[in-house]
Amino acid sequence: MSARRQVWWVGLISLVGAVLTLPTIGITDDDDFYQHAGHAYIRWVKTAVNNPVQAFKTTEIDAHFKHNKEHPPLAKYLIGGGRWIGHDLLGLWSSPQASRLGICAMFALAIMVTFAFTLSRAGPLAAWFAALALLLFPRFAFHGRVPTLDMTVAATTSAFLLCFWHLHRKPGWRAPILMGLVFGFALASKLNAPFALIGCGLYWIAENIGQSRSDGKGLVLPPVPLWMVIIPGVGFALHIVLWPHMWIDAISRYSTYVAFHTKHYPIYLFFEGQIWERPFAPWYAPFKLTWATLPTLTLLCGMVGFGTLFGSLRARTEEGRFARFLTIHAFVAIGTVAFSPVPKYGGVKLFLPFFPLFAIAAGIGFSRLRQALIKVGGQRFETRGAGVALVAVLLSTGLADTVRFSGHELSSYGHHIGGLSGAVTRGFERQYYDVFDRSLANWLNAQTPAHRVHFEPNHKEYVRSAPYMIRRGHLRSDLKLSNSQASEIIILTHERRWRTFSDLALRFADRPILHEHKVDGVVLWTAYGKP
Amino acid sequence: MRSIERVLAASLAVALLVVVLSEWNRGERTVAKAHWQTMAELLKQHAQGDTILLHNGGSTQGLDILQAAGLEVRLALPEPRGRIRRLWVVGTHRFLEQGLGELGANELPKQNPPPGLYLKHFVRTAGSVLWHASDELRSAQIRAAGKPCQQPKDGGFRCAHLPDWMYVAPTQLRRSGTTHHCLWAHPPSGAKPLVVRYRNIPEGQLTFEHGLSDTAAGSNNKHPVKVQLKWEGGQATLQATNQSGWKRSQHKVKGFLELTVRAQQDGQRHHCFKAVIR
Repeated sequence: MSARRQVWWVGLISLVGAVLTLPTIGITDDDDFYQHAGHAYIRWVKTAVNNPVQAFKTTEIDAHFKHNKEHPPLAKYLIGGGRWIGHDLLGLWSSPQASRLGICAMFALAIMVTFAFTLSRAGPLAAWFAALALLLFPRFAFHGRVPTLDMTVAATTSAFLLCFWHLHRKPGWRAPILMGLVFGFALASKLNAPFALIGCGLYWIAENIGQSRSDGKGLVLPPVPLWMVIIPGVGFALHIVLWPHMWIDAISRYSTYVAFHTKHYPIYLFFEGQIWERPFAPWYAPFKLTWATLPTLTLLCGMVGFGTLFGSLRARTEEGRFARFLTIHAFVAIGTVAFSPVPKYGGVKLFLPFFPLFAIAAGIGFSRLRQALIKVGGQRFETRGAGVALVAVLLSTGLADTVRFSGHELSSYGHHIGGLSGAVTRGFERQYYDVFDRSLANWLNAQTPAHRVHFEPNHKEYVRSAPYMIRRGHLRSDLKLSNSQASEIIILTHERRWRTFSDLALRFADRPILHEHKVDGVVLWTAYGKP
Repeated sequence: MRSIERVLAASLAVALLVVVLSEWNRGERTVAKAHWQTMAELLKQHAQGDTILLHNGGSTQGLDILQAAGLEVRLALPEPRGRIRRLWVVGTHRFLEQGLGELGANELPKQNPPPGLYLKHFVRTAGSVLWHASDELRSAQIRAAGKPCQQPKDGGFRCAHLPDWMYVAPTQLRRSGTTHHCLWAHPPSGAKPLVVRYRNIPEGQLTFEHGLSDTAAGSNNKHPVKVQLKWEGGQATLQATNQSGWKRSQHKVKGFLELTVRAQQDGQRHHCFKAVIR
């Protein structure tokens, strides 16, 4: 099978897998922001096509793009576009479900890019391993099925890096313009995209530092390449073109956008047995969370892969260049969150662009492990069957975690820390995001209709997400949510980032426990009845 | 070179072993009811009235038995943790000492804990902070000029009905050349009160510190900022003037704590306070 055809197969498998498993994924507290905004943006696009004079009026732009104006628009176009195609045109999915289709496509794109990158460096078996390892990382797969910005920025920055790697040494204008356009899509996804370009700059310095020389006039650097000017220029232009909100009073609005993120309000994270708000969690939190949440054998392959890449860092060959490129970008992708003064919340969500790069390293690590087994174990490890068997063994922990944490992906932790129970013992958060998941909906659906239900510690998010569960057909429509602890049923979600959790659990001790929902032996929510 | 290959092959073998062991140990470690009952008796003897934390690696096994014995058992440490004076951690999993602050490990009862259960005992060191006003700000009721202030701002609350500087939140303020980490509490205009009320405080010695910023102290406004402190069964009236510097006072308090801040003229009255109970 040709390389191109394999890439498409990988994309198709990922997309179909993501779409088929959409019903298992709950509603997050972000759904209400992004679905709403996506719908409004696509309504504006339709007006722009049918009645451009009307659409380009300031009032019309503001009316549609005021929603979630603190984030760039691309993911929201995808969310709204998915809804329009999947629900309004085809009628195949409910509107909340269809809103996730565009994000599933981004998930598939991220995996395709991972495959393509690894294929060129380590061959087809390693590429399939890398792609499937990413597909079977439960938290990454979760973010590929919820309407948020993180998967879009992970996919578009990975696509930009692939373009950059293949095109940045090509002469002429066309290659930098193409790279600039892809970078523009990344910029239009989320504010962490520009850091990919910083990584490219660091890579250029690493490649050219040897060519710089010192003469009587000081240090002379090699000439600045054309891409360094064109990519940011074209990228920024496309980013603004895609975002009508910025067409009006551009400087002021853009300053507000940047300022919002430089002074991001604190968001809680439960980490190392403590609630972190301000000060934000320690710098090493993203590294430790990566270590804890990756499936064990994927983690091993990634570490072997990075070890292999480190070994080639000084080589002046193509292999050395790739090693420098990947390690610099991987470090920038995770370091951006680790070393900047921003809230480090939401597990691995904030540095999702790191994981395609990690999966590529895992593919390289897979190849290295296979070589080692052949050398130690002899020719029998060299056969195609043995290679496929090794892929299966090394994907087993990813598959086990995917099955075990299906519907609860944000609770997944690797075998090496003892799964979720081990994570809880070590002071990691057992869940977050106030997900209205299927287990919760199924249990509530089985209760007597007259019951009022109150959620703790964060009732307001469930008030926002319940209507989406009803629209998906996953929750009975006669459910009565009540903001009163006098309700017949109280659901206590075990999210320890809420300071009130301990007191609430104590206060409800005199109520009968109707149900405890456990995953991997750990209680995720408790339903209490009337005392 | 061959040794690297061996190390890699061995690392794969070790990782597979870790996976197998992890699967083997998966699931709840069930402890017999009788053992939980023995533990309940032990805690009743030694831990009645203390903070008791159940630590089963995420399971609630044994909770019903401990509660049935009349013990107040928590599933997580209470926040803020300054409330804990004595802590007992009981459960099927070994407890990692994370985020315990000034709680130190203490002696255990002579009886051994029942098989399959761990027990740890921590005690707050003498004179340590039990309560901190900025930690508790989230649960405080704040009102300015008669209306509630509920808009979140920098870890505190802003009064949406008043100008931007009307908020209560952590800040840094310079007075007499020293930087103080304190809670900003600017009096509203027209001698109206800013009220910060903490409904539940531990009984102990309150150390209250407050003052105006250097900039405010150098302004033409000579009106003092008056602060009235009220608690269950007592009160104190304090004031911060341009000359008074950073002031500190101590009070025996219990029940609740209410601060009322006001000034005849509010111009340049950059007022800030700190309060801890030991």
